[in-house]
Amino acid sequence: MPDDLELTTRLARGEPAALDAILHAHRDAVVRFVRTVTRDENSALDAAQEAFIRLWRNPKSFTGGSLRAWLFTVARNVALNEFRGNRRRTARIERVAEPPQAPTADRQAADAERLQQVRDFIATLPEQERSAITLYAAEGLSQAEVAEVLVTSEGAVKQAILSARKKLKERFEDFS
Amino acid sequence: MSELPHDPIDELLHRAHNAAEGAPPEFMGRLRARMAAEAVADKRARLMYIRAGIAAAAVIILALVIGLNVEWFIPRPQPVLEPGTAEATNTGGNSPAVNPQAPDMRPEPQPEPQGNSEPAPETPEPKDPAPGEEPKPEPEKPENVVDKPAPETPELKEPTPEQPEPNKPDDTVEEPKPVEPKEPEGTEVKPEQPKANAILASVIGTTKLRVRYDGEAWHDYVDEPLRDGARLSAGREPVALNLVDGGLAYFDGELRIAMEGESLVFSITSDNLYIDNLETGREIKIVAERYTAGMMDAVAAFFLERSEFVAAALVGTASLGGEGIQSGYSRRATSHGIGNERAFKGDRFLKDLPERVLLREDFDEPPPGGMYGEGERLENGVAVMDKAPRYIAFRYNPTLTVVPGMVLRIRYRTTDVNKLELELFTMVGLKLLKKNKETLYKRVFTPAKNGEWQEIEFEVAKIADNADPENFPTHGELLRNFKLHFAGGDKAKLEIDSVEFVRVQN
Repeated sequence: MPDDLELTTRLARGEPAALDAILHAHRDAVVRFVRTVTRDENSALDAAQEAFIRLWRNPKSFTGGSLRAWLFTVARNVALNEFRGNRRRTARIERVAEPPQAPTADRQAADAERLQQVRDFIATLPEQERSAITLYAAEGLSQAEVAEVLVTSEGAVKQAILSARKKLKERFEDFS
Repeated sequence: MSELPHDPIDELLHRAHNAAEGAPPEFMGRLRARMAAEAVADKRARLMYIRAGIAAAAVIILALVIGLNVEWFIPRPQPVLEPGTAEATNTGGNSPAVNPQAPDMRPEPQPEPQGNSEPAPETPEPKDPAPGEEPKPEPEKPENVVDKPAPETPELKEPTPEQPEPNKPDDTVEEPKPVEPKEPEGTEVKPEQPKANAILASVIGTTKLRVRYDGEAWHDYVDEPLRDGARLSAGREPVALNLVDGGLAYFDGELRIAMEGESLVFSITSDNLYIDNLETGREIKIVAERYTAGMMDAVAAFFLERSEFVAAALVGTASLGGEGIQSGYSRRATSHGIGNERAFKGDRFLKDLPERVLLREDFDEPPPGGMYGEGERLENGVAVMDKAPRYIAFRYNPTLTVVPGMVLRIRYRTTDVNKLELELFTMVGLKLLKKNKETLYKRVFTPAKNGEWQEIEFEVAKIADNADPENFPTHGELLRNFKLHFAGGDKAKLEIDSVEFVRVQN
């Protein structure tokens, strides 16, 4: 499987397959993450789109490391800059569309409802905390990578993750 | 820093997050449609540039051909001089001496038709001061806008092709002119890396300082670019610098400025440093003795005194020794380690901070983003409008990001005007999936004087949304243009000498 730098190099050469591979590999993750940041479906899709557009326009701006982390960083910056101007009008939390459920699977439905509750709760955390815990626990980034995405120190990331974990545990005591 | 131990709650979050829907099916279609549209627009733009370039080249060639013909072949009335006389060998008289060091743009001597062999009078050219002679000062433009010569008595500046246009002194143009192009939106995370030996800063004003590069001796700063590796030593007064990406640094004592990867690194030897790099997208590291501080898109101050190093975040966040510093707080590094965050109470050094010029438009030439072109005209560095649609407007290039402490300053003159309406429009956002409304921030005011130049200032954060009086510009919003409407009598006229956005740190 080609690495990120190879893909962006091919993208710079104008190979459509490279763009397809990048979109296929990262689009869902970027949309999910930036949805956590904005708590607004339309803003999230716009910001995710902008991140891919910027990579497509200037693939050489990615110089190595994790492309997914790079896309997270750009999408988050776009989302925050765009979101700041519209926060009064988009402060409400929009519920993300539920995946279709099998009608007979009661347990699955209950499980899906619970996972939705977790997502809703995450959306109530401060931006730094919800982004840090999402990137670390859900996207599997290292503390250093999270710090890079959030443009902060590893110490601050650690603190944000611990704080988010504590709140999650308090809210979902019976999570196991 | 060690990774946190695994916590079972992470699994719940992992499941919840990944159970959420990813990109909807229409995401790819819209993305590809936008890429296709941009590709077409790029192609058109390239074609337009190529055509414009060809046309410009043709015009230049034509002008050169005509110019050479005029110079070589058209007889001109000239004084007849005897070969060998002083006048024949020396340009003398009112013609300045030819600058021996300046590139000689005159054509090589060519055989000329008989009867035209006499030397032509020299066209005035820049003159180097003779040894021992005081250098002739360049034409100066007053530093302060208020003192700018009144536009109604403009100096005629119509340099002939042979006369180089006088340089504008650096200290007169306060708009930061980063030597490297800057990504306008400030949201990119991978800024362009300046090339080796790149120019990293320029000095604002005429403060005295000394400069030294590795392997060289100290020399007094003389209007020179400050390159990678420059060591700077401030004189009695602190020194203000425009940084490569449009940021501002202000320091006393001594420091070195260099690039390290993509980071701009300030190594402080002594005293104080203030940096404003909001919305520049450039990481900055500050090294003082064995401590390292960092900041990005923030405003921060750093103090080195007796082996103690203090870093304070004024806007945004900074870090010291890997520990974060929130806005309004500071940390102290000593031989005992990095201290806890404490509320920052200020410092004398920060009392007279320079303004950071974010955008300045003097109307000496059309703004880079263009005027609206509704009939306004530029006359001697002044934008003038005296007819419908009764406004002067121009676009930024392409946007201007709102930052805390942003102040808009306008120097203008009105005649027969009783009301002015300032309008600042935001960028139409990225709302491709729903109709996005641009925000219009608006302020109505009355000119204090009729027919006199005056200056007015607005705190950008206090200019209300026209549709929602509770909504004000916030950090990160992208402004796209400036518009000043006027209303009044039949002969109402608005003139704008300058528009300036600065950031002021309180």
